[in-house]
Amino acid sequence: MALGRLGLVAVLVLSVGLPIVLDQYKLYVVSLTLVYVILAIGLNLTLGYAGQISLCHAAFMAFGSYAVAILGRRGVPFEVGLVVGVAVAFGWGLVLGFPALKVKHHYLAMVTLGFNIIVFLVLRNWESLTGGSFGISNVARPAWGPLSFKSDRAFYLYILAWATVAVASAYWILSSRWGRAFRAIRENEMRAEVVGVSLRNYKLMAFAIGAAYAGMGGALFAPLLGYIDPGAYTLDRSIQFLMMVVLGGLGRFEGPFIGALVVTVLPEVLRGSEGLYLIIYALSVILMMLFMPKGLVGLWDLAWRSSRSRTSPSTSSGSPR
Amino acid sequence: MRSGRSVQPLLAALLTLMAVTPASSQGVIKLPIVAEITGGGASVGAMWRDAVNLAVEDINKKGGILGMKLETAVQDTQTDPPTSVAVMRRVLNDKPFAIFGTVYSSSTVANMDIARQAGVPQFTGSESVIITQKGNDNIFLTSFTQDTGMAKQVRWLLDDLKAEKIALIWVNNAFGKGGHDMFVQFLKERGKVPVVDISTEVQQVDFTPELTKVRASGATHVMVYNHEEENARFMIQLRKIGLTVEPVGETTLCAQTTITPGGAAVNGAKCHVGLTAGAPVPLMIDMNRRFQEKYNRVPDHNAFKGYIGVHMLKAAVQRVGGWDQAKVRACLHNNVFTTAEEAGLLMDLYVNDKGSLDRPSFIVEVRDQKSVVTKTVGMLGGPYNVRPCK
Amino acid sequence: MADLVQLCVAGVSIGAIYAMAAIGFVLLWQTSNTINFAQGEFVVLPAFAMVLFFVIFRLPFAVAMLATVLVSTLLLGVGVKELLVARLLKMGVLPLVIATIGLSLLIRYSLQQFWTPLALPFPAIFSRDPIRLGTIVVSLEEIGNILFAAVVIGALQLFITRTKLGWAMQAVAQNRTLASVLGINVSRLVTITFVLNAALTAVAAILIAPVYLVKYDIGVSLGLKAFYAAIIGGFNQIRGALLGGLLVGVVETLSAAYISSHFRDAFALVILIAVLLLKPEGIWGVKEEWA
Repeated sequence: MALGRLGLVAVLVLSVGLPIVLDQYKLYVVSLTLVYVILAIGLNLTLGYAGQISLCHAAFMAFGSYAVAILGRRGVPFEVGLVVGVAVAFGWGLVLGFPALKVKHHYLAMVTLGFNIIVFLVLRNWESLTGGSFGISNVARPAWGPLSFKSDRAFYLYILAWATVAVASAYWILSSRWGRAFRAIRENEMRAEVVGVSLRNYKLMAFAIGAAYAGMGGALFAPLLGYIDPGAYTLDRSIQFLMMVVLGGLGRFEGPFIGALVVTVLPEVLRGSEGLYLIIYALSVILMMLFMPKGLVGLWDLAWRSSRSRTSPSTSSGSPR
Repeated sequence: MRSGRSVQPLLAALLTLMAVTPASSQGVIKLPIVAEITGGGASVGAMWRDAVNLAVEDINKKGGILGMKLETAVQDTQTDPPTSVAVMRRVLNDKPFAIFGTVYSSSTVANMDIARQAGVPQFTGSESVIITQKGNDNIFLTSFTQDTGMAKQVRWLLDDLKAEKIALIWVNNAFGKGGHDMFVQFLKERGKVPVVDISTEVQQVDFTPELTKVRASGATHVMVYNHEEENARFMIQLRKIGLTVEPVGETTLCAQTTITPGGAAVNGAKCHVGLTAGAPVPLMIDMNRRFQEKYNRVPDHNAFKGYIGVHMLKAAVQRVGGWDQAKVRACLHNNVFTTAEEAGLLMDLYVNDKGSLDRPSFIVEVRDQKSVVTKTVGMLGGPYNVRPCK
Repeated sequence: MADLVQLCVAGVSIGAIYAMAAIGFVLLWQTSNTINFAQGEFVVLPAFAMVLFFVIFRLPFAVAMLATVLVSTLLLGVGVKELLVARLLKMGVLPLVIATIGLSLLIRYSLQQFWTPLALPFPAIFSRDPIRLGTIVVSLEEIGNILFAAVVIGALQLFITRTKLGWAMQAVAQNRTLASVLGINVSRLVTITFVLNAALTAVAAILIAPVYLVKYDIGVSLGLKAFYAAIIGGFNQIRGALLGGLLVGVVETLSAAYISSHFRDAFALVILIAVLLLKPEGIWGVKEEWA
């Protein structure tokens, strides 16, 4: 990977040190960005690496959020809630993988879109379980006996820990044969099948694993906000994640980081222009697609190439690109 | 060194993030507005913002509050609860005295805890009853919640209009569900049940299913509780299908933002409203005129709420005699504020121990595409006592 | 029983509007592989233009309509094609999808910010007086929408099947490479398709405006319903879009009345998913060749 071991350690140390220097607003934005990174990693896996269009990422996120919120209300420890949420998301990801076997591209997009809307409707109407439109407040943050992660700073570190797990596990998956199989499917399905890649299992896994990450992100999202309602898990949210992943760079490991950063931080930076910033944001999206259709990771590559010596080795075939 | 170079831009980013925010300037009280300027709530947030700005302008012209001038700034929440949380946090960094917003209940429920933790009093335009059920002593509504509003509504429907069979059409979100639940509860207390109870969606276009059900049920009155555009479409279709049922509503049906797109179809609708530009209250007529002069449009109930909210703060600060957030908070619970002491309140009001209001309200009828007040309804409870706050 | 008929009439009337939005959508996909996420906004923009010409400038109806169609075809037809599609088409489906998402946001928020976030009234084109047939009450507006849509769709179908340009469009839709080898100027044809779509959405806007009211966000649900309609009916046939639109309209209306209003949006979706899993090319669609 581009950063090198020492660089990674430096980033980690700085990330851990951030809560000391940042005020509660900026810390919140960074925490939210980290959560979105986890979600973007999942979608990047499904869409970027395996080429399966998923427009229901927010629904998988909802499973994580509501699992943690509902179980937390009954006193279940946060980590258990997270695992349950991830498992539910994984399960539904498998279910959604089956249509992916039958249909492709825009058809698959429609099935996932439909799933997202149906999940939203169920969340809204199943009042006894989810609180319906009124949502669930005071979602509990994790606590290990006397050690509580309730404070914003402590919870930020907690999120950082899970984000590291997500990044590391994604790296591992993509370096393994799974990663190679996903990329083979993305490039050319027929050829992959001929070469012996069991399309069926890998496609199902691409959906399921991507969904699992979304579940994890959702589980961390709920206590960060403190209050969840069905409105946070609509089609708009799924489209937001789609934008993150494409803007960042599909099928590139750095993509989710860049995408999450841009989509979360850009509106905050542009906030000074009052109502105009959404228009500027929309314009930027169009322009970015016109001039950098492979995503902003192209800029990253450019910056990287100019600061490296010509003789340094490029990324080996085994690591994710 | 390679990794060293990668660290440099990160350090630069860190240093930028660390930039210290300036301390508040002397002699000025900061009152940020956190509202829905874009997104689904744009029309609502715009009214709130404009009215708060007008109120601040009015107050500053008369010398401010206790000699201090007021300063506002607008922050957009995009009608998105997570964004409103970020905005609330950002705004709290400037150490304001009080915050005005949000208006949408789903955002307010998400962000009100943060204001409470910072001890900054929050004035909201939300009306959902769940806001008062969270045990938050830092939130102050600028209208009554749906439980007071619907109580008055049902009383008027049954006692004044002598409604026999009532159909209920409501929008399926937090706002509509809250109103629905309260309405049904108060009806039940009087031994009645809606003959039709059917939910609608935001942005719904066709209301034939609802209208055929209403027609089939033989309802005498239909309680229409959607957002403004949907109400307009509903009324147009109700007239098209030639139904003779009497349309009644609570605030939204007779709002100007329903009448403008709905046109003549809305004529004949009767509503219980908390605030209306057509109220025969001299103070409200005056505020209406000044709002129109400045902004070239008629204020709606969200505008009135914003204007009154600022003056609630003024009244409390004046009664406390100083800029003390904790004392102002305490003053704004279980207390009466009258227009005699603060004209900007537009009407006498009572704030209960949960931060919600009781206040006189109005029955309006839409005639010639205008909301005309036909009756004034007194406070629901009382008599209330004035408490000193020093 | 009377209620059932009443509901079906309403469903067909609204379905006709969905169909109009869906047809252009299908045309764009067929000839240029564009999934236009901004299709709903392609209707909203001309609707606002109509308000400008007809309500504000008080031009005669026919003139206002012509002006609207002109503005629409220039901006959303030629403009979008040359500035966006031409460049992005060769990059694959996704960048274009994201660009159209960006375009839909741009149109939506620009209208909201620079014009108004409030809903604007629009005068009815057809009379709204109730016509009673027994216990069923309809108005000219329902009938007018259905007839108008039928005429437009019929004309379009004739154009596609009976004119040289229409045949060229069919050729490009079936196999772009082969069509260009045969001498068809594919790029020019794609432009014509976009112009056609823009004209269609402009006409749809005129029908929709009195019913939907003109507001910056009406494109969201309309675009979605157009999607459903196109997929359910058949993504590569005009009559498929018609069937899909009518089906979505009727299913929505009937299910809200007879099954559950809480899950109103779900029933059309269930049909959508069923169609996608059982016959992905749509009910009247033809299997696509993945050339």
